[in-house]
Amino acid sequence: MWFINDGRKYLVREINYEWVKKNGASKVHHFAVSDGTNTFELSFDDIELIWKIED
Amino acid sequence: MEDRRLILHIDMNSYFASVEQACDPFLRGKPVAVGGGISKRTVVATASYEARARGVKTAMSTWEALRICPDLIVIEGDMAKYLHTTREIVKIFYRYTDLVEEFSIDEAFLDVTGTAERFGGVLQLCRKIKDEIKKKFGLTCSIGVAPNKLVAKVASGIQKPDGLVLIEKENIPLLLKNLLAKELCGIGERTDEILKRMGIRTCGQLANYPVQNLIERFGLVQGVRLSNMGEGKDDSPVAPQKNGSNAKSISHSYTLPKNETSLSDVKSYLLQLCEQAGRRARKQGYKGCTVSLYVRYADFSGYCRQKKLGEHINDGFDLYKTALALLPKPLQKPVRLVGISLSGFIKGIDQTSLIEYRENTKKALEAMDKINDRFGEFKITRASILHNKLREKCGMTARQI
Repeated sequence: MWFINDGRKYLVREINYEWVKKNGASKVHHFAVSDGTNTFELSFDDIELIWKIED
Repeated sequence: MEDRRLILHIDMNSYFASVEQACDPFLRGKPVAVGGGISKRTVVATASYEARARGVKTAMSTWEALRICPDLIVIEGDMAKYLHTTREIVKIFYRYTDLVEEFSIDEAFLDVTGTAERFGGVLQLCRKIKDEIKKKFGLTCSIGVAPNKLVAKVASGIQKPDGLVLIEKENIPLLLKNLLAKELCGIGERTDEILKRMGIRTCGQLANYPVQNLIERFGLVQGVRLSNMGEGKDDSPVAPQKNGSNAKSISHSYTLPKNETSLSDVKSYLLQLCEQAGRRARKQGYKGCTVSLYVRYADFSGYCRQKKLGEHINDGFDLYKTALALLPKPLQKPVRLVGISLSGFIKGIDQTSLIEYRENTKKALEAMDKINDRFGEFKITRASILHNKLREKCGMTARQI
């Protein structure tokens, strides 16, 4: 899996942690990931079907 | 019954900080504190073991923590993350027994009397639980095993982090002999002060103290209970909460961003807290008849008032009106913290009111709850609380909603 942030492509090498937050009827799945050098928090809203880079 | 029981107390080590270290590999091995973020007014909720080694303690102000450990990494807590992790960990516990009592967000009691043999004995069962938690979350826990909850909790505190301590019944007197009485779960500061005045500091002294004298001082129930505690006796069962919790109170408090002297600002925060408490009560099907208000002033003195109502309520605005009547007017001093509590619950009883406006209010609340259920908290709320900072700060504060 990969994503682009600020024009740079990052390859997800490791999922460090996963958790779910409820936002109304939506379940937002959060993933703490790293590419070996940087860490990011990604989220996926299972109703809106939107991925976000949270942090 | 107690002789044969196998009770586990499982305590997650440095829980919030460990979760954050599991999320971010670059935090591992570093001093980390989790709390309300970097602000002079926030406190440390949990410190990693690296931070503890540098003198950082739970409940210390963040400012003080940074003073003694300048390279401390302070992280704003994410309660949803911790609650999710707790739920997943509890699912692991239920694989080993159906007698699981969630004692707090990072502690639980398990009664494995009837299941331990299936897993190769109690110690093997404990190791399996520890391995599963470590493998799935990268977290460690300390487990105390004893014939009852009281001693199991003491045992889990003996070896940290990642401990496993078994206390056999015959070793309990030796374990407790020189242990300070206040270390026992159930002996708070006030009780400890009274015990000290009676010349009792340790569990051994408590066990040897004439029970009649304890009864005279504390009453029959508490006197006998304290005497038993001194001897390490506790026959309370592990009480599972799987079929819905039986909350005794619903409370919310908030440390204001700055000390407030304006009554209208304090009222706004109070209304927000009441709305949160009301929403939680409605979600859980409770109505309460006792409202308590707590105010902490800037000089750390406190003001606490309580009122018992003639009816049971769960509308945040009704709660607010009662709390407001309890609030000192004008404010005596600048306010640092305000807190509200609803208790005296009945559950699942909702009578139709003959008064039309009450029915209309109930319908409006139901509609608001439905909108917030669908689109998330605070999507529809009272205009008078829109400007306060509490709405934005829902990580550690509004966690139970």
